[in-house]
Formats: sequence, structure tokens, C-alpha cells
Amino acid sequence: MEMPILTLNDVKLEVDGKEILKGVNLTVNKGELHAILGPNGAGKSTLASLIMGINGLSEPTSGEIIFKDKLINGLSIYERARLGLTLAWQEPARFEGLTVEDYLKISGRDNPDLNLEKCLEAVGLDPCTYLQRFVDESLSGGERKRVELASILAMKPDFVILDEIDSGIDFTSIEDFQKVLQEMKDDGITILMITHNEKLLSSADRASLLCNGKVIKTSDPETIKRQFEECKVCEVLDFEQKESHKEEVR
Amino acid sequence: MKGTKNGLLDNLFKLGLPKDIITNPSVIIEGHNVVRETPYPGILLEKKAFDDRVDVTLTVLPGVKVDKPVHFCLSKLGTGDQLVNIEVNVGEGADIKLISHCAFKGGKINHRSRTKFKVAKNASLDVTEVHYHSADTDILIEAYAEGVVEERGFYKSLFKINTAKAGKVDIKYNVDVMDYANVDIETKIAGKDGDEIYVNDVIYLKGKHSRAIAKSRLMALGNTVAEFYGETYGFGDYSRGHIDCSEVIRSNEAKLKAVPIVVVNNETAKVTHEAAIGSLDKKQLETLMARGLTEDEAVEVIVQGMLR
Repeated sequence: MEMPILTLNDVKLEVDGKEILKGVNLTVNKGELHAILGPNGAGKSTLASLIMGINGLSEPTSGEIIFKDKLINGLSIYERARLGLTLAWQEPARFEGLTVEDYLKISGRDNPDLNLEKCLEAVGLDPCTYLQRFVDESLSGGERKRVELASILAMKPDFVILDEIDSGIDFTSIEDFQKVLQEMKDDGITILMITHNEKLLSSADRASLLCNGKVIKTSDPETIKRQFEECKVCEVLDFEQKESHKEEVR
Repeated sequence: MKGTKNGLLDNLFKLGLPKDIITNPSVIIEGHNVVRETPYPGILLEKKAFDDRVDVTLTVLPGVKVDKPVHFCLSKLGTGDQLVNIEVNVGEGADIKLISHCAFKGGKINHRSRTKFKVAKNASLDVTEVHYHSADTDILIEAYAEGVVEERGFYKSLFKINTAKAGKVDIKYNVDVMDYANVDIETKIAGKDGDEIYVNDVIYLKGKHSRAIAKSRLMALGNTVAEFYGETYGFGDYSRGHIDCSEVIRSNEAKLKAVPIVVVNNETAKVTHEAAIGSLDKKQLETLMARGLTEDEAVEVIVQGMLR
């Protein structure tokens, strides 16, 4: 039986008088890889921020965010993290003086089975080379993203939001990335993945299409991909045409 | 226990000093007493203890390459003054790395060091000064150093305070850099409530093609005053200097100041500077908090990384 781990009920968010999220309803089931697709400006990253409580977005204007049967509106970032929720950034932060080993140990400090070498090997990084590297500007963008994924494996949360972490990774690496996603799933981690990558989308169990601040459909990845193409067409339409198009999509 | 060598070492290790100070060449000075000395071939050490100070002269003979770091441990356990006059002479072609551990525990302590150094032609002196202060120490630190780096010599200095509270800190460096010599001076200190930190690095690029960089990383986490003055004078032909000051503020009570002073009187010389004061990076904080750290824990991780 499918068990919801994250539920958003009619979540609305207004920032500086502008409505960014217009009543998002979304259910992510335990253990699934759920993809979020949507055109630029649809509110995908805002949604990710709101679920994690980052960027000053700890509470929606209205609606409920329920994680593991607990209302998490207003909780701080670390309180959400301690419930088992985390996020991997599109452009992960760099840290002066912090080694990969330090970073993975911090991430996995509550994981009794923490194995640093295994985490790095899973993302295609040689532990001998990388454990003592600094998580600073000396890492390339691709290396930093791999370290970010390794830190998720180290933390072993119940739920991770991957905010376009695949962007900027070349095709060969995308295949490696799919293996990492599988490794996370095997570890029992539920994944909410924001992506534009069609290949990655096919790895998802389900997908949702976010358009103009609303989830307009949740279905299998193929269906959502087709609908996304239509939604992209909708981007060039004016407001009224967009509304009418969305009605058609519904 | 405090009065015995083993008791002293136990106290120092508890403050965070690395245990390899026993196995590597080292000098341990508690107050104004030299309590331990592990010699090394090619290094001459003279010391004179007085009631109010201790004078130490360390000479590295020409051509000697010291293959292990030499530890200088200066400690004061309990209320009192410590004045250490240090003279370091690195002979031509010699090479040494000094790690100065300054450990202070309890009471009101005034620690003053006056260092004079000379790095001869083609020689290298690499000094790291790390401070360990217990939380119950009310400390005043004056660390003054002046020296000359001769032709093609190399001098590197890193000063950092590793512990919760810095105290009142006054650091002054004054270095003459001669032909083709290279100097790198860096200071890393995090201040908390009531701490006062003043750093003044003065570098004279006197020689042709001399090079120097003065860096500071000061962090103010509470009611702290922190001021950095970096002065670099480009006098030598084709000399190059850079002042890099980055200060982090995390309190509306703190007062931070960064003043780079650049003086050049030679058309072929070039000295640049950058100075920035800002808050901790929000994304760094949020990343660590998303891994379950509280905000205070995340700040501590970031600050300790910057101090590394």
C-alpha cells in the first residue's frame, strides 16, 4: 500500500504581494522517486525552498505541509532535517577549510552505518583522492555536485529534495547519476527531484507538472513529459490563452 | 601535578596541543622557565630565564634543512605575566618550519612576545603560531615581530587563535623584503563577546622583484572590536604586493574595520588590495542546517573552517 510521506494541501505563497504558489496540492509516497517538471518561473525552486524552509520561506501564506504525519509549517531548517528531510542544492555551497571527510561526517553524524568510502565510491569519486580535498572553489562544479550527493548518502535521510542537481552534468555522468538515485532508493530514501532532464525523468516512479504556481497534473513520467511539452507551448501564449490552455490540460 | 613536567604536558594536551610536540624537536616554556628541550642537529638554542622574561635565540646553521617541524610551546597556567623575547636566525640556504603553540589556562594572563628574525639568502622560515585559550582565561596578547628576508629568501607566517575566546589581541608584524624574496603573512582570529583584536601588518618591498601578500580573516561573533591595518610599501623595482582582508560580522554589537594602506614610489612596482566585511554566507548556513545542525553549530563549523 502506498503511504504518503509528504503532503502539500492547497499551499499558497505570496512574496512581496506576488502570488508565487497558487494552491499546490502534492502527495509524495514513501520510497518513491517523484519528479517535478515545469517551465522556468513555474515555482519549482520556490516549492523546494518552502518544503525545506530555506531562503526565509519557512511558512506558506496558507495551506499545510505535512511530513511524516507532522505539520511542518514554521519549523526551522534543522528541525525539518532532524525529522529526516533534507535538500541538495542546484549550486551547492562551498566551504573554506572544510574537507570532504569533514562534510560527510557532519552530514552523517546521526547515521550509525556511516561509511565514507562507500558514499564517495557510489558517486564515482575515489576516496583516496577526495576525502582530504576541501569543499571549496578547488572542486569543479561536477565534483561539488557529486560530493553533495555523497553527503545525502552519508546522512541517509528519509526524504531528499534534489533541486536540479543534475544541471551541468554531462551525458555520461547522467547515467552515473541514475545509479546514485537507485542507490538512494535502495537505502530507503524518498526522492523529490526537480529536473529538466528527460532521461532522468524516465527513472521516476511518478511525476508532477508544476505550471504557473500550481500542480496541474500528477501521473506517470511519460504522460507528464508529453504534457510538459504542451505546457512549454503555453509559455508563449498570453495570460488568457494560458488559462484556457490549462483548463484544456485539466 | 601542575608543577611537574608531566602535569604541565597533561594540561597542555587538554587545551588541545598535539601530542607530537614530545617526539619532534621542541622547546617548552612555562611562564619564564624553560621546562623541556628536545634538541635537533644543526639548530642552536640559547636561552636565558629571568624573573620577568625569558630570552631565546634559535639559530639554524647554514644549509641545514630541518625535516621535522620544530615546536615552540609557550604556556602560562594561571594568573601572571609572560614576556618572551625570541630571536630567530635562519642561515643561508637553511630551511625550517616552526610551530608555536601558545597555551593559556585560567586567571588573568598577559602574554607578550617580541620576535626578531632574519632569513638569510635562499633560506626559508615557515612559522605557524596557534593559540589555545581556556574559556576561563582573561588574556591580553601582544605579539610583535620584525625581521628581514634576504635575497631569494622565503618567510611565511600564520597566526591563529583556535579557541572559544580570543581576549585582547594586539599583533604587529614588520617585515623588510629584499631582492627576489617572498613573504606570506596571514592572521585568522574569531572574536566573541568583549574580545578586542588589532592586527597591523607592515611590509616593505625593498628589493627588486620582491613579493608579499598580507591576509587577514577576522570574525566577530558577538560584542567584538576587530581592526586590521595592512600596509604595504612597494619600493623595489618590479616588486609586487597584495593585501587581502576579509572580515565576517555576525552581530550588530560588533565593530569591524579593515584599512589597507598601499604606498608605491617606484613606477615598476605594483601593490593591490581587497577588503570586505560581510555576514556569513547564508547558503553555507542553510546547507549545514539542512544536515541537522542548529544555527549555532553551523556557525561554529564555518568559523572553524575559516580558521583552519
